[in-house]
Amino acid sequence: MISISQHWIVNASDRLALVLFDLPDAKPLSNQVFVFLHAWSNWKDERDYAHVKIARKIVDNGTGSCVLFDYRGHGESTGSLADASFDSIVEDIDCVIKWLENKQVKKINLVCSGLGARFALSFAHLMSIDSLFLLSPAILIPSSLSAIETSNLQAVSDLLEKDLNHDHANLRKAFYKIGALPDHLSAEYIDPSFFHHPQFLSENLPDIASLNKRVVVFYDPEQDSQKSLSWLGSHTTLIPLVGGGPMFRHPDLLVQIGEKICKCCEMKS
Amino acid sequence: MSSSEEFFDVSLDNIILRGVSHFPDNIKPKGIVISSHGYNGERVDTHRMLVKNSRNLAAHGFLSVRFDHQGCGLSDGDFWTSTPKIRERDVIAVTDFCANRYKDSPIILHGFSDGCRVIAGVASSIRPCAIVLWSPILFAFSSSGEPGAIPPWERHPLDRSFVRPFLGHWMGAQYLRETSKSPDLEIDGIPTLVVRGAYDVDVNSSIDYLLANNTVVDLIEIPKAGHVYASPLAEQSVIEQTRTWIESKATRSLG
Repeated sequence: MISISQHWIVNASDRLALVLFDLPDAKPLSNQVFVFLHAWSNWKDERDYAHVKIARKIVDNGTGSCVLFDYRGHGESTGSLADASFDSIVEDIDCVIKWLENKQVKKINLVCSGLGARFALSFAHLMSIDSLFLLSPAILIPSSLSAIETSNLQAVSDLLEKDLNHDHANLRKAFYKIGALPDHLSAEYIDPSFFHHPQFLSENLPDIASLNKRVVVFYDPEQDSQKSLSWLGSHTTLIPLVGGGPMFRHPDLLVQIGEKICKCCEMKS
Repeated sequence: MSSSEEFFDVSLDNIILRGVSHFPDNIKPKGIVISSHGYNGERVDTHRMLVKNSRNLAAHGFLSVRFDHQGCGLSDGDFWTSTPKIRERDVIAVTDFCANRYKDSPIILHGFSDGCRVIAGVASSIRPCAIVLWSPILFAFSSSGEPGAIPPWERHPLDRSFVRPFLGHWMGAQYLRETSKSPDLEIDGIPTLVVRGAYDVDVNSSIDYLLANNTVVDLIEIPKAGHVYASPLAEQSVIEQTRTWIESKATRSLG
């Protein structure tokens, strides 16, 4: 039986909702912890509770403890999506990792969906992180998103409607490419300057080799958005999963991801 | 009005349901609003709508409770066993938990989409002072979630029950058996608010059924909105109009 506890963590003026998955006899946390980073505009469960299902598999297998949380402006944390910048999200991740370090956790791994991978890769070289598991990682911002006028906050529903009126549907595809579900997002206001952060520029792509960490990428080889993973180089393990699209929307695929993460960690130890 | 939020766990037959309560600081709540999310939703739900709704209600003096049904989100259990009948028991357990804490507060039940069937089924047991139904879906839907594709049934390896993939979930055959029957509408005499999007044709048969069964229904139609009210204006309109309606019913209930 898995023990699940819910916590609030205070970071500056915001309160982050955090959930800890553990085995009841692990005190206080397993030596190995997996921190899940959701995609921008999603929340800790992820679509189809994907992160919850993977976390349950990891804990049930005895591989480690898992932490899921919402960035500020997301899910059950305080704030609005429009106020969540690249830097504030990285601050929130740092806050959670420090919370774990204070609990004497020895080994931290990251499991990241969509843009969560880009957030992780911006600081992974600075922290004692063991492995990164990237689920359909989004690294660069599609041009249709970076082209949104930046002067004001924009309602996503208005942006999608304008796009459709011009027979494009480019924005909808672009949101999918960064791991965001347009229907979960369309009642939100966004600050388009989010997409102009220097970390999203191609010259700032992370050098995976210099990270000196294990990087495992799960991707759907049938999706155009996933075909170009060449920037990863030869220092990663690529695991193709076909049939559920870039968000792995089939229950078997979520089980497979959980099992493969456990296996990778067993092989390393 | 300042408000606070607390996580809670409710145990039901070795299953733990996990939720969040939003409550006003320093006053007795004007009423308790308990929400049941949609079929494959969870306590945050699409564009955080249940979070925003609860924060709005708490800021206006209500205790608002969101939780994950069993098999959903962070609660225990398996999705393919999470049928409307099972979910009705979840609502009763969470209502008991809240009512014990705030005795004599009027109870308002709130459903979203498929959660409306759950609320309609449980109303006769709880006898709330009012019911709110957002985008009510009272009858089965047969699609797999993928256009044009209905995959065959399979046996789930754990309990051998019939399941088929529905997005990232296993949908159970029992869910379709339960929802293929007309729902138990035991909400006679309980004031009921139905909110619908003007463009949402999926709710037509359910609303017709509600009206044909002599339920006391106030109907609000949100212009230019679909099933999940996917624009800031539509979302705000649903939340504000719901809260105003609830305030009027709770005040009347308290006399």
